[in-house]
Amino acid sequence: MSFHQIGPKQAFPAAVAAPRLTENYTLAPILLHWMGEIHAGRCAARAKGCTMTDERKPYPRLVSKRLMLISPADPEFDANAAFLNPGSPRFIDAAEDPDSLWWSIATIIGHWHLHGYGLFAVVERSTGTTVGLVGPWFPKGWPEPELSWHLMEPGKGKGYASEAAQCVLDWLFGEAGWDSIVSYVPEENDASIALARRVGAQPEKPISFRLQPAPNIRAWRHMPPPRVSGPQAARGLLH
Amino acid sequence: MMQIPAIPQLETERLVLRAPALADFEALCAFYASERAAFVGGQMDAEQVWRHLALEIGHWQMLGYGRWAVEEKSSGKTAGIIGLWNPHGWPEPEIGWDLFEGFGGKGYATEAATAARTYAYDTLGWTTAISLVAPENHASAAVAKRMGAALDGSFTHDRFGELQVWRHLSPDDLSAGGMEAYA
Repeated sequence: MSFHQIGPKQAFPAAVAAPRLTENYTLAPILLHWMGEIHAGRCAARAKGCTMTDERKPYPRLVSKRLMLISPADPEFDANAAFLNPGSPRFIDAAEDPDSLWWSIATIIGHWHLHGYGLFAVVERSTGTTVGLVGPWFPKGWPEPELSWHLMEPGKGKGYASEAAQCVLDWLFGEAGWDSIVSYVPEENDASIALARRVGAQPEKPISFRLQPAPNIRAWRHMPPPRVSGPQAARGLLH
Repeated sequence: MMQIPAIPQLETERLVLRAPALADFEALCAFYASERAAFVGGQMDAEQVWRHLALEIGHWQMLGYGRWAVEEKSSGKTAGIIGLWNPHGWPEPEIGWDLFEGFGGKGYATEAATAARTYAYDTLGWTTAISLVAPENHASAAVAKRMGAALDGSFTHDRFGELQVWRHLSPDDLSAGGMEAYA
């Protein structure tokens, strides 16, 4: 099997260079205030006269039927407002103390800057509410990049996780040139297993690594959809 | 690689304060594997250090300020991570200095931390700043003293334990000439 085709340093610029429309989503290296979908305010930094990001290099935004996916490292995205309101859920190895969510979100943003990709904030288009985080996650110590999904309580039960995961997969395989990505799913997590199946992942072996996010996990592999070109399809028919 | 946020670069006589980057990873690993880490929450392995590096960068984006990687001009080596630090759970914004092995005794921490203090007061408009120092970290306390800071109680953090709070000279203190004694 060949994984890791995508080096962290090459994933991103190519992906944003050629926006295109597909049936399912729009990949849009969108300009500021695009479609007015971001209700979040500008980042605190800019208000103080410190522009955080070169706006000539926008972050990717993916759009599906009901969702928009935006990098929390995008300066147009207010991570404090989206994730740190009272009652927000915990993500990503957050411990029990109330401060750990802030540390996790800052780390998720830094992951984008170190790799050029990371978890997208999942925004419900109809309300502008951030309902989760879905995307490739590859901290040091992970065997390979993982497609990871986390939904907040208000986003659950609506099929948002699979819609967002499919959107990210379309982007990874269609635009960013990835060959493969896994999801590490606990064996007892029926909802996540159903989700993995729904987006076409195949179960592989149980896996363990030192920093694994839960006990008893199995790798579920996502692959690009098979491409059937004319001549190959014809040969297939002949044989 | 994606662009790092436009973290301002500061320059002092002997140092450049620039955005932390993947290039600092090895130096950070060495620091967090060394005994010096005992004063900053304990040793961390490479996996933890990678996340910490991400956190350093994310801190800038969350708050609009953060810590810089401090580069020694003469060698181009990373001498430490120094700057403004205020993650959730901190008592108030801090000027922090983590100086790496082999760069002590040269006044680098004082030089970089003073630049960070100037940035906090002049650019960000802070009216006060503290530094948190582990009680046994005498070298770090000496930096605080050298900058004119005074002991102002203590703070206990779940992970970092009990820390001394050193209160820095205010912008008014400095403009009133308070810094002359320390220049």
